[in-house]
Amino acid sequence: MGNRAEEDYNFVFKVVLIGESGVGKTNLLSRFTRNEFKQDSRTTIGVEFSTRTVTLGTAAIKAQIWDTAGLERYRAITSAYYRGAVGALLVFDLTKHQTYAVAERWLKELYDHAEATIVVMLVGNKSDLQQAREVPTEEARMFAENNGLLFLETSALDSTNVELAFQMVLKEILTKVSKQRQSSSRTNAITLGGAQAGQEQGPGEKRACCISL
Amino acid sequence: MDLQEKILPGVWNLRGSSSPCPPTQAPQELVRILHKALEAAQQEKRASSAYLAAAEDKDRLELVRHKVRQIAELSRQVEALEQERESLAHTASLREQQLQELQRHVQLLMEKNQAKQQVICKLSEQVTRDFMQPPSQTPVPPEVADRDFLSQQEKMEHLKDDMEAYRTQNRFLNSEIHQVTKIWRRVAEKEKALLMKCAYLQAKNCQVESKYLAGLQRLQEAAEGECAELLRQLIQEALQCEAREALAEGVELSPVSEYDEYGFLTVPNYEMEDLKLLAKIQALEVHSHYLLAHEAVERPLRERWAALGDLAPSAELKQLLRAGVPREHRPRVWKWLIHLRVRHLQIPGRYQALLSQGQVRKHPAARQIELDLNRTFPNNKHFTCPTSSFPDKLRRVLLAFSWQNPTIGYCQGLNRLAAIALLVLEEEESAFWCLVAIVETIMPPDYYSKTLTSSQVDQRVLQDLLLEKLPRLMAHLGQHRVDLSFLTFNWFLVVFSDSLISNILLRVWDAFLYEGTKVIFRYALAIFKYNEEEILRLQDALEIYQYLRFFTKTICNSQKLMHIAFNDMNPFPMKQLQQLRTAHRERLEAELRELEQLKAEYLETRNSQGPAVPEGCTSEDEGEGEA
Repeated sequence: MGNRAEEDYNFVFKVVLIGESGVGKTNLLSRFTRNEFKQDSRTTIGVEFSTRTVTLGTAAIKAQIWDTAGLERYRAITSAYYRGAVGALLVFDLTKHQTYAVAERWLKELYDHAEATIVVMLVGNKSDLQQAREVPTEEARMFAENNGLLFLETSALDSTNVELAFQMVLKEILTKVSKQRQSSSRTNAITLGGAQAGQEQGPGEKRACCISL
Repeated sequence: MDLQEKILPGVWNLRGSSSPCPPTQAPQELVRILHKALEAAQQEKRASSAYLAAAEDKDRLELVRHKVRQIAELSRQVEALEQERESLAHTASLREQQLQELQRHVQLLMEKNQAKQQVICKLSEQVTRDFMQPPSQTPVPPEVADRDFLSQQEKMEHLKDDMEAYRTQNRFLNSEIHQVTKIWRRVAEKEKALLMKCAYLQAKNCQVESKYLAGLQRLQEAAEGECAELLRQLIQEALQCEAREALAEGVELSPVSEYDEYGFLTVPNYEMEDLKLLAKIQALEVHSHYLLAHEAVERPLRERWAALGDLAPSAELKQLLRAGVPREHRPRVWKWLIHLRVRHLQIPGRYQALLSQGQVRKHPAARQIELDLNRTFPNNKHFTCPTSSFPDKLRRVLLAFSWQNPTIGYCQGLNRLAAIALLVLEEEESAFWCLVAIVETIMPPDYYSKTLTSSQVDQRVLQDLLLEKLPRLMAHLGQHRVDLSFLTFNWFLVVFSDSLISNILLRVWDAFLYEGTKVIFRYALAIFKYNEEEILRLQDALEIYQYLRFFTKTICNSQKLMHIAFNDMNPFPMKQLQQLRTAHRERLEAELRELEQLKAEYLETRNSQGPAVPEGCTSEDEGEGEA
């Protein structure tokens, strides 16, 4: 059913969206994959996902983005989907300090279930609501730097930085993959890039989904 | 003792008393009395002689005693006789009274009779008088009377004619009515046939249109150059034609409306440009199925439901519920089904009490509930319209539930369940009990709790059942390493309310509320079976995932789906389900324990080696407590 343009890709990168309930994960996803924003997007139960193909330099990258439910009790189910993810957007709502305060817990959750080499970006969403801001930019940036995370403030509502955020994450992944391909052994590159949706990493049965041109 | 002395006073006595008697009777009476006196005297004499003859005082005494006893006996007899006499006298007086009454009655009757006779006499006299002197009473000349008589006769003739005429007319009108009725019946039948034909044609039209759109879509994917421009135009037209049609048509042809009867958008909101056509195709298919089923399937079903009296659990009801409850009966039937499950919990005033509890104290879940209110069914007008009362009702139902069941409190997904209940039942208290029925009585414990253990178990059970019932599909999915649980988890938690179109969804719920979770398994299997071929055709994991995102909404033949769920998936014993659940629960719990252990070990080794991944800075630790 997808566009023909999306059929040809060199890489499939699995990216997960995590963060507290109501911070705007689903809208970030819909803004990025469909350029849409819905004031009342429905609550995510478990996980949902969407894809978009982007071109970075000469590489066509299919971003497979998994949107997870933020509610704590869904963590047992959603964390299973971190497996095989090479990128993550840890989203908080910059008008609600509580959603930022638990970022560290989310990070731990992520590292517990995903690859250690996963590229993570801290995203302060809802930057259009400047007057209601509760999390100063600098504070969040400091936290990101200390934890080795990328950082950006976005607004899914007015599109600010959404495209950029995903692009940055995907670029970083691509760089890592390329570097690993060049320098270290082949297995590593496959581990990072071999991200088929919901797929387990069986060493013998890799599908050739991440061939560089 | 002198005998005469004894007799004489009696005689005199008798004489004195019987003086008024007629003189002829007196001697006889006297003789009788004397006889008696004599007898008595003789007796006395015998007694005396016996007394004298007795040898000793003792015997005499005995004799005397005997006599005394006799006397006592006699006086008793006298007394009895006296009483008898009295009662006889009483009866006599009663008889007398009766007699008098009867006499009075007779008298009355006689009087009546007389009066009647008088009346008869008078009347007969009158009759004879009338007979004798008719002319004297009507002092009209004979010719006038004749004329009068003639005119009367004439009038009568006329009336007779009229009557005849009316009779004929009536007969004619009756036959006319008969004819008209016949015609009317024929026309009605014809109309029905035409309506069916119309529905059929409309359905046909929808199908053709959807095929056309599908064709366009296929072409769109393949075409290039000038054709592409033309195609783009055609698609644009196809997507817009709805509005024009509705304006142009004078006859009401039930076009595809924007919302279905429960307020859900009929054209699914697929957002992506290339899926818009698909959405439209689906809406057309759904509508064509609806039109076809409406006459052929729905009507008999509706009749069966209407004929069904009081609801009682039975095999017939089970079948009827599986086939689906017509909309007009659904609220009543659901209320009954819910009551069947929660009657032991339904204390009057419970809901109000829970609500007021919520007003006093703020439930920790209230924040999340508030956050989710506007994110419940954004595709339903009852939840998106700003003036609708549904979000407020939903808030109260969810808050009340969080107090009703503090171990669960609130879990995302409960909002969907409560919303469906509200859409069907409308009244919030009933919706609240519906939610209680589902969470506390139908679903296994631990389904919505902190760990969601039972929900996870059910996903594994489904996996097993899929392997058993749909081995080909599972081999295909296995080959492409597609994991279905991300999808089915949602199906189970919210009982398909995100996945199926409302028409089918509510049928599933009809059976689900009666039969329980097995229905979810049946339909989950059926949904995959329904689309099996389509999935088998897809040869790429991403494509499969993409397809699975929306394929449940493409199902529009509820009959077919139901048939698969309840026939093709048999045998489906409850025992098997229970065994699988028990086995998987044990396995899952063991795995979780193992995972915990692994985590602990990993942390230990990592701590001893030093952090490989930068850990969060300690200054942020304070923040964690706030959550």
